[in-house]
Amino acid sequence: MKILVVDDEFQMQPLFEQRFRHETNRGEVQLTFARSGDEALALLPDSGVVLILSDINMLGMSGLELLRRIRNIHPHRPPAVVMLTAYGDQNNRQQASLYGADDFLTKPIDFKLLKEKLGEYVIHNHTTGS
Amino acid sequence: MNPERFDLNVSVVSAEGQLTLAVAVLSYLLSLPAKNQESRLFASFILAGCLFFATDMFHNLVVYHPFRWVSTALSNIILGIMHLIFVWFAYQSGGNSYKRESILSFLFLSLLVWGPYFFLDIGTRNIYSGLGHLIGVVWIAGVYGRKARYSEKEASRPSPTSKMLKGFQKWAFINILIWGVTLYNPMAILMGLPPFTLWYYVVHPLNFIQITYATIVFLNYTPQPTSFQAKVVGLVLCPLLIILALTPFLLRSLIVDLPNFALVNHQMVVAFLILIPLTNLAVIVGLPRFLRSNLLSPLNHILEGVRQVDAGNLTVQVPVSVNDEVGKLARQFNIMTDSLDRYSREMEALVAKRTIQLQHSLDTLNTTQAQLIQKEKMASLGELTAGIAHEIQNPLNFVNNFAEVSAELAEELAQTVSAGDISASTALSSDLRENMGYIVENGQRASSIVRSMLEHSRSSTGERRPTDLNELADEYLRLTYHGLRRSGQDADFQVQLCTQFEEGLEPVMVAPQDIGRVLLNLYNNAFYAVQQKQRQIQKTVMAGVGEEAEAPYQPTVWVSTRQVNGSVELSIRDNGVGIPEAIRDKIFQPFFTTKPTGEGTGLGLSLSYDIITKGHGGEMVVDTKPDYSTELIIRIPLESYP
Repeated sequence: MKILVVDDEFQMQPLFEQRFRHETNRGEVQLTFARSGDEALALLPDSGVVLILSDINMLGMSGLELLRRIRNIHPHRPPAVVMLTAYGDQNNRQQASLYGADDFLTKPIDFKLLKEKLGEYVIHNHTTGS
Repeated sequence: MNPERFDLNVSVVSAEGQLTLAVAVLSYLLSLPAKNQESRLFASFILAGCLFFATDMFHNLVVYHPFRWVSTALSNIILGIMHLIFVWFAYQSGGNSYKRESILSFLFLSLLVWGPYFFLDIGTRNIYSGLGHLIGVVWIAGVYGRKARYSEKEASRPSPTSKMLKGFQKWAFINILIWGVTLYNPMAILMGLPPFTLWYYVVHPLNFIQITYATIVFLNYTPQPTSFQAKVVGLVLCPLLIILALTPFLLRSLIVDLPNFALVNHQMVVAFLILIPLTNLAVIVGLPRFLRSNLLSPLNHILEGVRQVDAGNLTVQVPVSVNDEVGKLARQFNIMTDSLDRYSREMEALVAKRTIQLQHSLDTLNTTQAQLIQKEKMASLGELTAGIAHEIQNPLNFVNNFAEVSAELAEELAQTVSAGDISASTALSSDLRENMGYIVENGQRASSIVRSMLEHSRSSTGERRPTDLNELADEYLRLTYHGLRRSGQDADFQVQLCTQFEEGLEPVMVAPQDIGRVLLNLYNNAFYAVQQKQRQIQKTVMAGVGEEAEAPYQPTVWVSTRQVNGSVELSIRDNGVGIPEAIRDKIFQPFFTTKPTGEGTGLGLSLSYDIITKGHGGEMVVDTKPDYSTELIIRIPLESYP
């Protein structure tokens, strides 16, 4: 499965690469990285990305805005969009689910939990939503 | 004296009185320094008057026919000349604004006065010439009137010139009266009307009055310096001479029936002829002396005293030489200088006292100001705290994450080593080394944030060092933004941040903490503005007024830097509520805030403004469209500010 990680912290890349080292080696997961919402939007078409993990607080376009735009193009998954943020507050959570986010995870990322949930994210669910 | 040729009569006395007055006036006019054209014309008019009155005196004295003929001719010639001077003076006084007209009227009026002597026979020419005089003076009265109106209109209010011209117009009216009365008797004879026997009671006083009046008007408004004494002397002399000149006429009517009338009349006339010059002399010599000693010299003392007071000498006292109004004035002046001196001393004491009080207030104010500034600094630190916490949390997350993954890697490494897989071991150990690097890096990032927080709270030393404005602007943007995001009620608030930092910006010599405080302030204001705008929109939507726009409001803050003409420019723009026109010039004033009470100190922008302009020799300008956007631009010169 192809995963796009959107975060303006460049160290996210080595962290994800190491955490998904075994999965990548086994060919189960392919990681792509974007440093901003704009970059992510540019990457997305025809990339085969099925899961997007996006930070919310980025300079420039915020993660929520990115989510809104992605859901304008793809009202349903794929791709699944999971928001990552240091603020686990209720408002962001509501806003994210309103915009059609598939999940909401707080930083620091619990990679064990993330890996467990990967399967859920790729299940095509056309019956939800309008 | 040969009685066949000469006859002393009362008319001689009157003529002598007029002559005396005219001579007195003429000598005063000639004694004035710095004569101009007008004063020369006026003096020549008076001179002609002297000659006329001398001729008149002679004319009244003489009975011998050839002499009388000569004097008649002479007095008519002089009268004609006087008239022409009168006309010319009327046009010249106060500036000649009718050049063409003045020449034409001069020629025409000359013809009216002189013509009859050349063209008419002896019986009627005096009457016609007299009529010419009358027409002339009426015309001149009109000329004065016109000139006065013109001058008043030009200055749009009564001016000295217009007042002088109006005075001269009255002089012309007196002349109309004189010529009217003079002409009445010959005209009455021609028309068979009763004669006006008392005409000399009118004409003689009018002659005195016209000389005195015209002189006083002239002296009042001439630009030359004149003397008060001369005016007083003129005013005293005129009625005195009128009385002296007319008394013989009255006395004559009383003694005319006496048997020895001729002798009494002769003695009386001689007495008056002597009395008039003596009176004149007494007034001219005596009155100024009296004025000097009783009025002018005490007044001069007071004037000198006033000058001294003006120069700052408040202890001056003037001599009190007389015990009348002037003396009272001098005494009062002395009392006044005493009081002034006392007030001045009291005032100095009061000023000294107030100065001490003011100094005290100023000290208190300075202390309070320092406290306020410190409070503002701590308040802005409070705003920063949440941002700082987030900024520290971020690297700490990485430290944790990388440490965790490294532990896993180390475990794997132990396995690969014991399995003898060298290439896998090498890859793992290189990953581990890399991770250690990340851990160290993030640890340093966290501690540098703590350091800058401490710097911010510390009192500014104002120490300048070359600073990358891009880095500083970015750092504070993050701190402020995250601070805002974490401060409770604003957590749902999303703002799009657009930065455009010009690459290769030269370092600027600034005090980074101070500029940091400015940035913090401006960012906070920008966020506040977009937040307010969003709330307004939410309220409108909730109230159901208007439908939600197609493109929803996207709160955005733009930050950009660039280098222009030897200075670095930093712009912070937001699409928030903007600043209303009415308060635009107040935003940099201390204690001015639009925030609810207790939320803003009103010192942020004011301090920022001072830091940029006074502290760094830069400038801070605001550009705003109400309800649309606000942009704050800071320019800091690249050369280190002295």
